[in-house]
Amino acid sequence: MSVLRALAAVPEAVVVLALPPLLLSIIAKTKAWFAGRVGPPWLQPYYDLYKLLRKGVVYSRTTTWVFRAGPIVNLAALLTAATLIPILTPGALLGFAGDVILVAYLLALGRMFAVLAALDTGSSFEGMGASREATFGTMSEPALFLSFIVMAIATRSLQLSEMLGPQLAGPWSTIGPAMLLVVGALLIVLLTETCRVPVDDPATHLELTMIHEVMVLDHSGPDFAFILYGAALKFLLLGSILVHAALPHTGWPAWVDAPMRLVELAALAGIVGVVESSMARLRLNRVPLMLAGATVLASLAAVLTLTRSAA
Amino acid sequence: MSPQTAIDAALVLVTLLGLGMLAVSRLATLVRFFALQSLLLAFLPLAEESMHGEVPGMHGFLIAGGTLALKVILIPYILSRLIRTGEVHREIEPFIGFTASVFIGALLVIGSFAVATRLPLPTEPASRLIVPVALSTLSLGLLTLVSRLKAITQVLGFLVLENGVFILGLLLLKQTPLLLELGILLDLFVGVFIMAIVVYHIRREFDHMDTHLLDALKES
Amino acid sequence: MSAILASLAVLGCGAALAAVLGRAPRAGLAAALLAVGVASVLCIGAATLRLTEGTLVAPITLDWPLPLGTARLALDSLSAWFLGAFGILGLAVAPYAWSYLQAEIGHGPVAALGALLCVLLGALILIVTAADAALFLVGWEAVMLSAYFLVLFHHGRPDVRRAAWTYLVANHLATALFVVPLFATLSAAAGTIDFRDFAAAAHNSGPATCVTLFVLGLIGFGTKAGFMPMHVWLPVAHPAAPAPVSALLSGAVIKIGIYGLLRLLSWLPALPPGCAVLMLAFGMASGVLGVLYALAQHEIKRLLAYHSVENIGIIGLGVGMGMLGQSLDQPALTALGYGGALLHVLNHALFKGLLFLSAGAVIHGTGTGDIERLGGLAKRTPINAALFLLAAVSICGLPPLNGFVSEWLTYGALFGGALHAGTTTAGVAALGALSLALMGGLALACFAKVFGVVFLGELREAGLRAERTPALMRAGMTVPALLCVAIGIVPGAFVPLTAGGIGAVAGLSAAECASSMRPILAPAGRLSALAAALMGAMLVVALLRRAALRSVGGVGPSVATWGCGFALPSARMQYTASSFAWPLILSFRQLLWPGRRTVAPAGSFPAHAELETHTPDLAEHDVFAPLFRGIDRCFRMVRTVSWAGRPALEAPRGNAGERIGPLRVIAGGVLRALRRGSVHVYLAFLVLTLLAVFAVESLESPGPPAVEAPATGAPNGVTP
Repeated sequence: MSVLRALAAVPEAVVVLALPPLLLSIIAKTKAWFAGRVGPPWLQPYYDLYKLLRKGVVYSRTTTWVFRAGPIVNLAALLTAATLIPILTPGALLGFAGDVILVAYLLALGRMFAVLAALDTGSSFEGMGASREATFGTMSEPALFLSFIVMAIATRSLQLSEMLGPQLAGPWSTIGPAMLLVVGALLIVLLTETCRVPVDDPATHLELTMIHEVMVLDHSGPDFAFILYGAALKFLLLGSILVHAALPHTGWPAWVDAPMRLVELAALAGIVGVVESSMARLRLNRVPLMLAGATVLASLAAVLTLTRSAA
Repeated sequence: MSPQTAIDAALVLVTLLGLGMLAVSRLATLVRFFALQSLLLAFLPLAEESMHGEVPGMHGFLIAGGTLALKVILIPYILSRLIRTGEVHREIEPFIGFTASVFIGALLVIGSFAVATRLPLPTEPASRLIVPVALSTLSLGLLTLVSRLKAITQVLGFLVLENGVFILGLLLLKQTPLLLELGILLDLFVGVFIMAIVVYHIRREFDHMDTHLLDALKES
Repeated sequence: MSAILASLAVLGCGAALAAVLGRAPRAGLAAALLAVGVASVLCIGAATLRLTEGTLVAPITLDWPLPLGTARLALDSLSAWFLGAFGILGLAVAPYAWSYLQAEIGHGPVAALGALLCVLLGALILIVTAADAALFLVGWEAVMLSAYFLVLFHHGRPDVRRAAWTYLVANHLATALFVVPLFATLSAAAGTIDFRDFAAAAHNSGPATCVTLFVLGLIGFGTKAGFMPMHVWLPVAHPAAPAPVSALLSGAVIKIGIYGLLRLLSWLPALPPGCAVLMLAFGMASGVLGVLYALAQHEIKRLLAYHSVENIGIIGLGVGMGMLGQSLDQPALTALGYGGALLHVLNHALFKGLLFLSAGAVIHGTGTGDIERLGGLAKRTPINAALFLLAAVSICGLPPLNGFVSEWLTYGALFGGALHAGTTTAGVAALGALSLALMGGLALACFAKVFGVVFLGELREAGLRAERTPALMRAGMTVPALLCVAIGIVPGAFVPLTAGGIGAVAGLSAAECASSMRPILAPAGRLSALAAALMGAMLVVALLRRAALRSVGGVGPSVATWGCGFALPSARMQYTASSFAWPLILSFRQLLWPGRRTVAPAGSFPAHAELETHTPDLAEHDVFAPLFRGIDRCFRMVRTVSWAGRPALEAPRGNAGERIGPLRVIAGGVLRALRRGSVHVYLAFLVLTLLAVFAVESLESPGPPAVEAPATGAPNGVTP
């Protein structure tokens, strides 16, 4: 039974593993379109990964095994989280009651090792990036958990694949405004955790203003490939949570459901591209205000849900 | 989307705009937020009446029209002219910082929701959210009034407070005489008009509009 | 049970031998530590037997006549759980302390330290196995005094003397004002001092008395445990003691506060939800503020001490949810809450013990605990670094280690509360989950800071010695490290062991316990699968990296870190711990009131610049210090009037004016504004008055019954 299920998951797993760089490509193409350029080829992220995997690696004398372990643990944590999150199909491979907390903490595990690898280089720039990553990661955590609580109360489940499943259609009709707030909070969390504008600009060239990019300055070769792929995978994972929360599919046949999810994910990447093209990044000291805003959105949603569910 | 959901969504948006006014420092954006909040409120009497299956009557249309004309168009126009002619565009250093006031605002909203469920009501409200949102808007207006420095922001705080009272008034839409409602609107207009004149003169005399510097004025 | 007696006897002999052998410190220490080790093994054995043999066997009681009456010892599942945790910690500390204290032989009273360690462990065992109030209080006092003398080990240093004094005063006040009245009330109600009669007495004495008893216990035992406003002794006493003592203080001594609280709850009937909410509030405050203060520290052991406050807060959240489950009559919630709390007691003993020992190894090897001077130790002491990292990952609650399992249970309870309680309590539970998430994120930032600054990068201060960690110290540390991994990877084997303890606290029968544990156990088993998946994924990625590197011929040459174009980087230019933590501290400045002193670089060739951040403890500086100054002044007044006849106002005021806290700043600001007649302050008072009137009115008015129900805890507000 479980063997059959695992076999059935193989095609989905292949698509899910191949998908993340393409989403980055969609963002890049959207930005290029807004700027009136052609943009890089659609497969450019894949070429980059291939190129990096075939390069040698250079390590600083300062670094230790922690630096080498950083990208590995980070990617492994994200891959494990991918088995718990519904991405194309409504079910998750290894989901169980209470897995929602495990997902959040797996993301945190990845962040811990990314931060430690940055500190291992001894560079003050990378230390600065690590500090910012830890700060903003911490501040987005309450919003993420409050969103989870709202969805848990709305669906009366603690399993992510059920919280994001067809059961959400009911809450959308009864507590629609609250769900809308949750989607807003999740979007801010997505932009923060994946280091997009307006929190961080992946295209910036000044180390002093970077967050994620400055943390990975010293990584090279396959290690760097893992980091790039991991960042894309993180976008896919948080994006899937957002898309499933925003658009519950009830009673759709599988052959419509999965392709529609692909379209929705592509649309999300397009939206992020539009945000990046139309907004400037915030001053660093305004980012906490935005994350506080996300927390407030989610807590308002929680209040709406709680006062409604009491009736 | 049912009219019920639409009213709920509008009310939640009203609360969010009230909270947003605590987070924003540009005065022009503040005025825009207020105008948008008032716009949402202007349609509420009509939506409420149509929800009960009635064709909105003269009463509802007049209130909606009055609100629209005054709070969405006229007052924002006066205030943005005041901002444009003055050199002050931002609330720089409020008494309570932006992030802190957003959190205090959120606590006030949560408190309003907690209190609202316990209030005895004269009539069954159109939406369960009307009372808590009215209380939230009221307290958010008070918070803006207390925590901000510039005269214009304080006027806006007062206006938000008045919006809260307006939402509360929706509960008694049928019972309140039309004359009273229009009287309140007129009062509001006169109030803002006078405050605008005062602010204009304060600025011309003192080259700024920080109200806390008025404290230096003393009788003795 | 005989194992307990044997371990007490062994410890007594050890203490006596060490005391006698004061002249031969090495032999005395050896005897004492051997006794600690043997007693620990006996404790672990007794606890394991007790926990595995079933849930609710009648407690074994042993009566024997003493000059003052009969002393009763009993070992139920709750006692056994704590006993096991103490035993494991003792087993880790014994070999470690031998190696750690070698350098002190001839300098400090080492044999006395050994003897006191024996007394401390013996008193701890006595507390958890005592079955009457007198014996419990004897153990309680013995723990306090032995710990006091242990903290005083470096008694030459004035700060150590002050720390020990703070510890003694805080704990004695709590004992005298709260713990003793608690037991006096219970004994008076029961007519005996036997623990077995307390439950019936509490059930008979009405809800108001029960609530009073709970509040007394919460403050009295909470001071020992280190809940937030009463925690002031904790961050001063822990760093002052030698590392093995700090490990025991943090891992075991503060846990007896939790034990006392749980034991009290086992006597009390289900309390109203308000009590659970109070417990949750203490848990949230301790957790969030504890970790924030930890983030602001630069001294490694003081930082770890604040993390103890945080973890006690997490335990408090679990206890609060357990109480809520009891008052709402939801056994699943009770099991999750108390289960999470009990497992976190053990987990915290393991990883915090390990962290203190590892930090002790750092101090032992370098001679300083100031993290701003350290760096790059992972290259010199790789095994100690790995152990510290392991403990850091588990204290942050990250999978696949043990901290995650207990936090996961606690989250389960909090989410369950948000799902199944009435509006108000559900809101509190959601707030608890929110603060636990915040604690997790902040702890991650904090331990990334400590590990990154102490062990990674380069040594910041040239000339600092960085010696290797001795083998015996490493051996001691592997004990908790192995258990951290084991609990994290096979939680299914450890979570069921809490069932007996849950049953004892909540008064559930074996069958009820088993049925309420069932929904937890299946997911706990799935955690193992996920841990395996995580490690499998790491293996796959690592193999992929190796294959990719092999195809291009391996690792390139070692170079210097890329300095972004700067040609002359030095180790002093690395990011410091203060800078790392500052953005977070700044974001929470309204809670912390951090101070910072800068000397900005000036001129074209700036010579000297400095930046210093410090975050004093608000409870210490703005609550207790003024309180004690006031008391001091009162006493001075009495004394001067009666003896010297001088006017009291002339009494010396000390150096009270050196720091102006937030209370004084706010009060001063408001007063000034009132005097000047500020519009804003008048408005603020108007608003506050309005809100107060409103709140009072709304509380008095009878709300709709459906909404009123959850607030009073009536079961019809609950939708299971």
